[in-house]
Amino acid sequence: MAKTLSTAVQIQQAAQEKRPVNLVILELDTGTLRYASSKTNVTFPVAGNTYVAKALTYGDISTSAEGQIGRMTVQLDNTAKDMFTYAAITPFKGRKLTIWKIYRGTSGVTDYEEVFAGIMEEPNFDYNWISIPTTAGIALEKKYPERAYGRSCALPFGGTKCNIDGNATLTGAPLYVTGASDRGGVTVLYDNALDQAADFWNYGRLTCLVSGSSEERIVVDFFSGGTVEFDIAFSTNISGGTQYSLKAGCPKTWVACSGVSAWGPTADNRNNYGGFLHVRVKQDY
Amino acid sequence: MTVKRLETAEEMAGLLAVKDDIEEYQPCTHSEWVQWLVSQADNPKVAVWANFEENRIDSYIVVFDLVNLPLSDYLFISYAFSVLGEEQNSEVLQRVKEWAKSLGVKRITATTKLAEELMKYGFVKIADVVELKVE
Repeated sequence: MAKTLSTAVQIQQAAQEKRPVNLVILELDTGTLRYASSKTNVTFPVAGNTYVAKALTYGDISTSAEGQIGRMTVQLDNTAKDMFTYAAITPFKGRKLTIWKIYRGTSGVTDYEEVFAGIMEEPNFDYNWISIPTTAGIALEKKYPERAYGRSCALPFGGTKCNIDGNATLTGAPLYVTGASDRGGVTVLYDNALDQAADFWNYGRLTCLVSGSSEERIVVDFFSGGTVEFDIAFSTNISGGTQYSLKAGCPKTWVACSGVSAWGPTADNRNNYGGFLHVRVKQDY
Repeated sequence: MTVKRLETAEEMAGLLAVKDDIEEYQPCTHSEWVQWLVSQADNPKVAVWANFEENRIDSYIVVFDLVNLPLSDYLFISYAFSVLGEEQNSEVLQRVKEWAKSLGVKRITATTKLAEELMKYGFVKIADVVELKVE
């Protein structure tokens, strides 16, 4: 301690209430274990729960840009081997772990700051420590995204994850129709019954029973006034009376997902957008 | 069925799986109680005996050594839990008696909440306590 500091300041610096303590709460099926990162047991709040003194460390902390902890590994002292036994009799995986910061001397029930709350994964042991990887929110079964990490949406249009809110349902009208063609060619199909707005079926999928039996699918390039065009040709001409079905599609962009285009979802579906918009690209979408 | 004194924190931690009624006896939760026992594993003045059936604990008793001559000369049963019959429970109490003898102690007392149960095993009621609730 510097000699120039007054006694009053030294007392203030050493005061118990100036010293923060981290409390770790493990909510297991058989009971809630409470530990304090401290040399002595901590009771919080006054006459409340006892937090048993334990050596604690934190590692592998990943934070968001806002400083919130998304994932961390909590290490608890296991030199007494008690954590072995806890893990043997009750599962840790999927149970909640919370870290509170309190100051010694505070007494109110709400006098804590929640530093982290997450779900525990399978703990790892050695003879000195138990390491518990913990993820805020739902624990990740995989440590990588299930879909391609790119700006455009990688979810199938109308699929389970795209159609959560029912804006891209491909099981009935208006985004799904069946009919019989009036006439056609290898790259075009005409049907007057298709009276949707221009471009409505763009990016959609056309399925035809060509020659009456073999099924072929193609992505629609352009639609207007009962005319469906596609770049890649069918194997044979589409004749009058050919059975077909049309499912709407989308170009996988943020703008199309908002429901403002003739194509894409029937309403704003951006809550379910499957791309990663923060990925930088040179061109505009 | 074997009676064993719980010596280590690891063995104490096994009590977390026992569905006892400690919350009726002590002002703490079951898991706080187990955590406290775990922290007392190295304390020679706290002894826990448990009745094991394979790896399952069917009964246990927690005894404090309160000997501090010349002021006090007794052991104190803080808590006992059992789903077993009198014969097995007597076997556990025998271990407590042996511990008392090894310490040269002549008396074993218990919390009054256990009085009725323990009187089946030769305990005698000698006094009542008075209590003041502070609201």
